[in-house]
Amino acid sequence: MSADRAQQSSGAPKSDTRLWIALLIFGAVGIFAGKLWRPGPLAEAYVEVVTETRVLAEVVPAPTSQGTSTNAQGSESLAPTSLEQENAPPTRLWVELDDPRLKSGELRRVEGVATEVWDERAKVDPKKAREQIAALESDAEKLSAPIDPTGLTREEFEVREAARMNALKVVESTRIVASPRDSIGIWIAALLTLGIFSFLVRDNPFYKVVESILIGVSAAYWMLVAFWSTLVPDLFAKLAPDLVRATMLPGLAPSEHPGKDFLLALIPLALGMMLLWRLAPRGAWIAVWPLAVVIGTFAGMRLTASIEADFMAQIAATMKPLVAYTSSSAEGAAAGSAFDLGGTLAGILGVVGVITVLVYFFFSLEHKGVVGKTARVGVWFLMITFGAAFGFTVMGRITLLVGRFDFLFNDWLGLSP
Amino acid sequence: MLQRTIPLLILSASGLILILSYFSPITETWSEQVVSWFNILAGVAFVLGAGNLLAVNLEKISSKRPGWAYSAITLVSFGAMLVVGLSKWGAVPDAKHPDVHLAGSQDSTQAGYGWAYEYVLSPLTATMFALLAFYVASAAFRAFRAKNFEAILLLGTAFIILLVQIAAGAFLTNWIPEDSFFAFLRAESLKAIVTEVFQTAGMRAILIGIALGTAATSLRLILGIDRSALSKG
Repeated sequence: MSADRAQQSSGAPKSDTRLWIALLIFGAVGIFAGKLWRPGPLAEAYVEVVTETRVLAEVVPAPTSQGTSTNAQGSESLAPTSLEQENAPPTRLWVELDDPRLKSGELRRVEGVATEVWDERAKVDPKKAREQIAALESDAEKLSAPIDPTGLTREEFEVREAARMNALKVVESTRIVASPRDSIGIWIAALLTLGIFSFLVRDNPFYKVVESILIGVSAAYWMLVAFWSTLVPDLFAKLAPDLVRATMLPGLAPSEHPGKDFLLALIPLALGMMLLWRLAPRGAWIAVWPLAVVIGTFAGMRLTASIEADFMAQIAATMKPLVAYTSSSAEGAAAGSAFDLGGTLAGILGVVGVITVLVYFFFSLEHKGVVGKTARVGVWFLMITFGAAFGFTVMGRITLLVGRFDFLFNDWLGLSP
Repeated sequence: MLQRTIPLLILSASGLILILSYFSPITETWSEQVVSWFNILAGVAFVLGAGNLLAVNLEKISSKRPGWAYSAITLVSFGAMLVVGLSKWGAVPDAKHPDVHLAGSQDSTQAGYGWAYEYVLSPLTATMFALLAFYVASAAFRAFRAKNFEAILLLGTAFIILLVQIAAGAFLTNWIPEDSFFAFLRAESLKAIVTEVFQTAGMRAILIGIALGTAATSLRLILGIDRSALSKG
């Protein structure tokens, strides 16, 4: 007993620790040998940088000859494009610097507004990035030499020269560069991964630090997801639509009933504040009201959903013809399709399985006699179900494990050929 | 009254509106409204959880309880992620509204939030689950014993599923002709039989049981028979 307790308090037994340390040393030696065999930088990361430029433009109103127009009946009426169009503020939109509508005069640039320029970076696989960089350098070198005009007419020369300049522009604008930010990220991810794996040796400070980071980051992550995806569009946008449109959601459509939306949004706001009251030292019962909304809504949703999607749908899926034919259609069966022994057995086993397992779950009758034997068959089906579920769970975890090793060996150490 | 009756009435009303909306289109807009409130409250619950995390860890730090340094690390990582995510630091501007900074996207690693997700949260959660592979296998090795027929069924099925999902399964059974009577012993057929016949039947019965249990519990809550959910103020 005391030996067990001592073992528990010190984590893994000593023999296990030695084994893990030996494995770690073996792994480290293997990795360094691999790096000697295939030298290359660690945590290589590349990005393709695309520079975006936007200018603010406004729609140029179409010229109107008169402020009034004549309708079909001959009476004069105010044309919809005259007075309203003149008084309404011109539609403004951000467009690319070389937008054709700017050249055609359909849009005009708004003066006094600075051009917005930013880079968009997309990650590129290191191996492909290296190949692309080499190809781009080669293309740039080839395209930098002017076209030899010998034997070409003036028109042919101009066409080829224009094509060369265009191709050179494309090559020069394609920027694939090393990304130190992503390289640092890979290093951090690798260290965090090793930190979690260190728990295999025993509970240790390295693991505890990494675990603390995981708790903090995941709590903030889920809070941010809720904030940006629910609270901003569903609550704040209804309480202060103009402010939200100006600062967070410029594409927010105007509401048809802003006053009603505002009043209705006050209810979840109040309930939310009541929920947060739970953090206060006194009056925690106030949080029960919003909790009642949450529990009631969830119960109502699940009641209908579980009856429809689980109960009814599963019964409907079970009630299929027991005798199967190679053709699934009734016409095919009538036309003399071959009897499908496998399909028939599968159908019968499916029905037997559902009924026997349900009998096993039915505890109002004592599991004796026929009921007991039926329930026992149900247990066999359950054991096969749990065995398969266990197998898939283990395989799922091993797939994740392979993914982590793939990250460590390829993304971090660059051991892939 | 304030602590018991009104919450019970709120719970019943919310649940009944949802149920009525399933049967009558008249109450559909009501249910949409209630579901919208539910979503907002679920969002606020995350804020509540974060607040609770802060309170617990700050208390641990202030009282210098054992492991308080780890609490400090938790709070620092929480605060850093929160600041980066709320300020949308490094977010890629929205092409239609590049002048509105907070409208930008922070999904890519260019943004601090996306970077933290890609290089901190994602590897940590994946490795944490991957670690379970060792413990599941270890626990199974210690616990599973082929003592009776049921245990043999469980072990045998798990073994078949594990075997047929790797190359060894195909390697061992590919010699069986596809059109022979014993074709069902080929790896892909064995997997199909286990999953599509036996596991489907078992899972269907389990789901039917769960659905009945869910419906009964929901009804008990909505009708006020089960008041335990609201008992702790």
